[in-house]
Amino acid sequence: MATHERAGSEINQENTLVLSWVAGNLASGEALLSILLPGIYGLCLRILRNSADAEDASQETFARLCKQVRQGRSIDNVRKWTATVAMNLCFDRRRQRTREILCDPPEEAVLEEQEPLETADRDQLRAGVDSLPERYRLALHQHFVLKLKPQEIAELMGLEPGTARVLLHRALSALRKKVRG
Amino acid sequence: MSDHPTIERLADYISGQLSDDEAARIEDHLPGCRDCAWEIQRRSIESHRIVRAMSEPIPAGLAKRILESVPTRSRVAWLPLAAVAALSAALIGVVVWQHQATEGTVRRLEEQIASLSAWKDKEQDSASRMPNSLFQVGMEGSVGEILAWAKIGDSNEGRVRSALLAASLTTADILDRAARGEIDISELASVDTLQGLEVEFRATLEESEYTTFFERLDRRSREAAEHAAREFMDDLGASVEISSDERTQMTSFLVERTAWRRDETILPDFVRHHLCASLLREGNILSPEARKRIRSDEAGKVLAYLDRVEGRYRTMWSRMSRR
Repeated sequence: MATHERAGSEINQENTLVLSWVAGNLASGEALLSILLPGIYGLCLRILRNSADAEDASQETFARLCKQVRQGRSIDNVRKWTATVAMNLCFDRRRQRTREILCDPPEEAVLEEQEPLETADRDQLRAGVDSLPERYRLALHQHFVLKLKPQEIAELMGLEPGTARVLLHRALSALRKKVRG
Repeated sequence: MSDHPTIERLADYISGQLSDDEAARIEDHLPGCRDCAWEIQRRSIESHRIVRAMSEPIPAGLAKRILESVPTRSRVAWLPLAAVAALSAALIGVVVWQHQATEGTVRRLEEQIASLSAWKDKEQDSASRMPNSLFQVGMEGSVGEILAWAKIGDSNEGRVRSALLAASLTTADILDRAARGEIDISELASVDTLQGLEVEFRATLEESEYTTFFERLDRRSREAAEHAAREFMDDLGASVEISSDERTQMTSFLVERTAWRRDETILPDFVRHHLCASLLREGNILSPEARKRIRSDEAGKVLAYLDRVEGRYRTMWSRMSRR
């Protein structure tokens, strides 16, 4: 069984929930937040590494989403749209804070396909993820938590279409390597 | 075995990136191949662990703060039961039938809808029950969307919203009954709840509001019908080989039979597809002249496909109406 498939109907459902929320139905807003907020908040936290800032950024993201819809502009993929806005907000915020920039990971030689991690525990994995270059961290988050498609990840990360798979492959291999030591 | 899927394919399978056909090929392969089944299992475990490790708990109260901080359009309180019953009864009077519908069909539908409103009067909790169904959420979303482009002045917006909500509530009710097998989908094909709004709107709206609203509604209905027909035929074409001539004819048949519906703009996608399936089954495919045109093996395959998808839509109906 595919573990994290996101069917077209799900995309439609998210879009419908936003429209209904903006039309005044708070239950729809609640439903949408229960689907999207964990991934968006996590994404902000991965970039800002501070829960108060991540909270502000996620709140601002959803406020912009509703504003956009209220003004009658159509959004065809709510999940991708919110992820993009959240990332931009977080990078802006961080730029004001420090001069840290989103570095490209060092180009590693094409890594050998490694054995999947079946035994690592949660803390080991978290530490592994945290020690990865930012692009790897974000790509893993977008793929595993936000369940975006490679094409969508490429658009978010400003990559040529088709190269997101390579990024994901590298990120996963690097994580396996870190965790195995 | 020489035809193992590559590691990359298996990874794509786990993350749901494959098309239905490609995924089906892997699923056919798995039962006979312990190596690949094992590989899938290990990768799924890994993926599950990573998701767990990367998931962050949301701070308490964040969702609530967001909900409170976001201004929405006027908060719509759900219409009280009496109002729902009255509005629906008014609407039922103006629901129009496609003029080709036979008298028998019209009579049956009238009876069904009459019993629908009787059922509604009896069922005390229907007003609180309906908004919880996914149908209702979907319909309400569509109403929000229609209002976003309708260009209706503030003074009339409330009335338009109520009328649209009432119409969509009636549609949701009919859909709900269809989901429970009480109305046949093919009969639903001749009902359009939004069509009836025209009379009411002509009396309420400014001339310019009225014209713009219905121009847009008609354009959107047509677009929705074309979109649904095209999508349905794409799916059909991906599963059954049919000639491109036949495909074009079926598409325009579907558009012609559905473009008049104004409620295409509020019906959920799969309902539009279900309508396409049942129209094809009733009309084109089975008519004697169509039979002459289509090779019999082709028609057989199309019918088998329709059986399959209709089964799937029925499952969706029941899932959608489960609360």
